[in-house]
Amino acid sequence: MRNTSSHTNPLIFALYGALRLLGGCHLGEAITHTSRIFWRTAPVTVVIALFSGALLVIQTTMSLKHLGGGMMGASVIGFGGVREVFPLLAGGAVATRTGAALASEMAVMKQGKQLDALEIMGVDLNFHLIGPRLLGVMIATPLCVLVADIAGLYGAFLAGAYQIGLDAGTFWNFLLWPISNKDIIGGIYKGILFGWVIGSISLHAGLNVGTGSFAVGEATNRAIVQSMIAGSLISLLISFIVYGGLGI
Amino acid sequence: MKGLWRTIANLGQGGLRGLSYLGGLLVFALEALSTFWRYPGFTNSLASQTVLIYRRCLLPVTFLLMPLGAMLALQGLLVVKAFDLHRLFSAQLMSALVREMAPGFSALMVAMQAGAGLTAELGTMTVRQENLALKTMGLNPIGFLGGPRILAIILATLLLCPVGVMAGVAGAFIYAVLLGGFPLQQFVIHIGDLIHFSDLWMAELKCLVFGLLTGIICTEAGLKNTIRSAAQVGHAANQAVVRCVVLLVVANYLLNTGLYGLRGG
Repeated sequence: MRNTSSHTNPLIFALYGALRLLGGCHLGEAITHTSRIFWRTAPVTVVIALFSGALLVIQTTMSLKHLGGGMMGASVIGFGGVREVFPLLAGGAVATRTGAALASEMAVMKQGKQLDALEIMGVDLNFHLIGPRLLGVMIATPLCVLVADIAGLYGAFLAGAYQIGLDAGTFWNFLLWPISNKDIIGGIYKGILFGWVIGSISLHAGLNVGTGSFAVGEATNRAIVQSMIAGSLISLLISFIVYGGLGI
Repeated sequence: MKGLWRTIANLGQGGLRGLSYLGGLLVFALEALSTFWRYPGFTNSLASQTVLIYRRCLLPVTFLLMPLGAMLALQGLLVVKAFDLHRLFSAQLMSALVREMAPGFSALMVAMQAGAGLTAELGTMTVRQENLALKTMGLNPIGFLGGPRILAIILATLLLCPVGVMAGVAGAFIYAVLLGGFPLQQFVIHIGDLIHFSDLWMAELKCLVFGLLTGIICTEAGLKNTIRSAAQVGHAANQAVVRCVVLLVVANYLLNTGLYGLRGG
């Protein structure tokens, strides 16, 4: 594992992984992993975003009662959700569903000496194993962000129109008018970076697993927590770059 | 037509599996929480587990909520500028943190950090057949191991919620006041304007429910007799966290609807 797990720092591993991706990876494997990761994560993303969108409507309607209530809340969800909440939720869903699975898969392969066996046979692990998975997460995560955006907005609409009882057409218009292309593209950027960070952290955690079955669980655990924290920092960084915001 | 019937059948089977899982969780919780106090030393076990979980989750909760607080401040400042609502900035921020962000994300982090760790720990004990050894000695692993851990997760989640609020406020303060130049006086004076005592206990009530759900799901996943290998421990930890996250979000929605009314208060 001198090429892969020798990097003890996840950040160095992430940069190394990105550089190696520039050199190419097995494209067929990458497509398979993208499809598998997307279909594995999309249902979880839909459920989380749908309920979160509905939840946001209830909260904002109540908080903004003194400013005009529901319709103002719809606009707040429109831009706040697409800019911040839904991409972060999609990142969280990918971290819990896929990041953990990647970490545990790699950890089991490492413990079972399968990676050593592949290396002895002359298989380039970065090209066949690590690169496709990393690329797969990097492509699937922005797709999940788009799914989360749609599901979240739809959840907000359902709660606003059918639970709170606001006029459906007006609510939908107020929900959509603050959303610009910049918000959606910003979300896609976030998704790509989330994917890179989640993939790198999870693969790193799996490749640096200790011995015993407890270590597999520990690697899974570490992958999820580190991915989530790194994801929130990246979200803040991208929002800062895209929207600025300093200076009153 | 056949495909349609098959889809309906699959959906029905999925629904039944979900109901069966929820029923199993309820039975597990009742067994764990009705028997744990019978075993000697449960108070020590409860205290040590609570401290352990709290210490393990303290930094992750802080590091998650600080950027989220800053992110709220970033978007909040844009609205403040657009609508000239400076007076409401810190009040809305605090309201969002106390009512939603801190309970939700603290519980999420407890599920990810402590919940997955708990499943891995109990799963490893299952693989090593330590649970069978406990049974042989006349101890019920569900009550002896599960009960104190479920209660410990609840207590730790309750204690971590205020930490999450403080971390979020600190993140927002650093971003808005120290870096953005938002007037300090306005930030401090209006911070409690929209918060009532009821919001605080509702936040803690949410944490109690989230902690209970996390504790039950993760201990049940770890104590399953089907875990036989290291791969299954990792799979169980992964599955437990995913189930926790999904059920926490659904429970959060139902709690909000219940606590704040069907039409949002």
